[in-house]
Amino acid sequence: MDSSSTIKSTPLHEILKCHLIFVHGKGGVGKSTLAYSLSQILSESKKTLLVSIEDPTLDPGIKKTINARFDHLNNDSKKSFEEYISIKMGSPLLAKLFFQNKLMQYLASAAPGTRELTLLGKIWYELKSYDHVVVDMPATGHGLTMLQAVQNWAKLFKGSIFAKDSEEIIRTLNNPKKTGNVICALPEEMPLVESLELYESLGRIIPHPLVSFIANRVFPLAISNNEAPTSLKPYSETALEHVIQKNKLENDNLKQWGSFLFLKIPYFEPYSTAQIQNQMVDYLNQQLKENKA
Amino acid sequence: MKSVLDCLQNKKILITCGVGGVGKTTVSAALAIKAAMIGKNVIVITIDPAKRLATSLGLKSLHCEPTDLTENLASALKQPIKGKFSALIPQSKNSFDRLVRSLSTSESVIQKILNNPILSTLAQEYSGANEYLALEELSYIEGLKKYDLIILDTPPSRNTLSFLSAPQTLSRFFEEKLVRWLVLPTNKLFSGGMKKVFGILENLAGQGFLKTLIDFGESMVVVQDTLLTKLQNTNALLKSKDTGFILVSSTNPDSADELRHFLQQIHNHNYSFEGVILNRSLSHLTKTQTDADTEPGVRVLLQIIERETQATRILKHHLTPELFFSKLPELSRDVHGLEDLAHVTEHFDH
Repeated sequence: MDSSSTIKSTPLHEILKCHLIFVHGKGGVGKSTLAYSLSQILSESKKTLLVSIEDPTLDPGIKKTINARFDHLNNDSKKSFEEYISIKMGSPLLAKLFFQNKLMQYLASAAPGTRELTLLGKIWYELKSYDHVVVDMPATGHGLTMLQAVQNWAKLFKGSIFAKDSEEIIRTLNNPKKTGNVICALPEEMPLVESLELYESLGRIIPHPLVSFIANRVFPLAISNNEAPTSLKPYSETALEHVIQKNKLENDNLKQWGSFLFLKIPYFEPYSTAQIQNQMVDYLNQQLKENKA
Repeated sequence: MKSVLDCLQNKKILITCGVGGVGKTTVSAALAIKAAMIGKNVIVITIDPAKRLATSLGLKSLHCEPTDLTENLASALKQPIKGKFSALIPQSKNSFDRLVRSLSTSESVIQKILNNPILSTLAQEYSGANEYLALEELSYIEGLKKYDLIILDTPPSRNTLSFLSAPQTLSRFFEEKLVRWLVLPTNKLFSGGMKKVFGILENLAGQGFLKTLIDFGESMVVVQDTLLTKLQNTNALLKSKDTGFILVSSTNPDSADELRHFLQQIHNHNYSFEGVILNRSLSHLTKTQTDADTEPGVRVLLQIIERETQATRILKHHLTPELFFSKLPELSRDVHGLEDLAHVTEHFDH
């Protein structure tokens, strides 16, 4: 891993100017809550769409209205593929013939990246109806697959309608004025390193990506822990000891990458998803107002 | 009640599953270390784009072949190791090439497949083929007959289920008539209704695609039988009595839903389920009300512990007595190397 000097974190307020915003990160880091909170903040003044990718807990392909300026879509590859083909063919009847053909069904499920391309194609299609589209990306590897798939298709189907659309999507992705990224990680050593690896992988697909790094669930600590010695024991005995060690560890980890690389979001007391979302929205709004994000 | 140690003693293959971020890779490595300590010749395989295992095992670079780390382990633990401990972090390009080469003895067939754009995109790291390649690595290592126990850390995924159905999906794809359709004489292929459909496809995807597709079909029909046999063997390996599945879970109450789905899938596939490892448990910590009153961090921690208690109750409710339930307490420091992993293994004893 190169030193942090080669990695640039863009302030969150810059990312929030982008038309398309991808929220990346591993599973279980609070990515969905963050994506929801960012959408909520954007929708305070702009028309915003939050896109989830095939969330099994939501109805597939359904767009839900959260408020007048805030929609939430659960992007479904099958539904989006049918929609895409119907638009391209201009005739629902022809499209139906196409879908009922077994061979086409196989190809659609087997051609590498069809699923990912359709999901991204749908997002790109929705851009024209919204000021901002925030995408809650699938866990790390799968999210990159989605971006890689468009590049593959542009090459595989040179000169075709698919390729032209793919190239257009790539242009949007490559334009830092249009597309921004948020990489979210927990403040532990390996997740932080991984988020920088993700940045590198992203750079191989999109040159010079605009990225804001966020460390989520940073443990709060009221008393100063400066004097607390680093424990040599692998396990703590008391909750207080654990919190102090955890806080120390997190701060050391974050310092390693420079004090400004990661925007810190504290660990909100885990009551319910809605309550965490509210706390996160308030916190981020406060940070944005004070020019800290 | 079964224990983790029973599994390490009796099984030949253990597959760890779980959603991303639960610490599957750490748990897999710890299981392998424990197995080596009780005398097994063990290998841990992880297909992991983030190279986590390499970092925690102290592997300097990635090897496509197994690396024996027994001596590293012995010096980290400052004690002799009864068994042997190896690790493998395969790279998808390498697994893919080996898979293709195993399908045919003809160099021209191999080259044709390797050079087909459809298949070469499949081999790219983020092309979603990781599930298949993990299985390819498993059957390759099993075929070497060098190890008493193989621990396979499954690729990170949103859900645990995509891995479980990988062999079926792939063999169904090849078993169906797709490949045979594609090698029909061109006049037959492009007659009647098919002609219309192909016209549409050509319009959307371009002429080159159809040619690539037919080439793909031609290559596949040659190796189809070999590939199907291979997939059936892998499938049999997963269903074998010597193979067990382990779910690595977080302390989140959502994990109960995940377990329910997982059990259903395991049952549908006829796989053998061993038990649940609850990772990064905090229930061992003692707490006082004064700490909670003065320290917001402690308050947060207490709520996480409360959530864990709920999760544990629900998880246990879904587990039958012949399955194990093992808790691994969270270390008070980051898992850095073999020594930290060895601390984790101590908790497999109780």
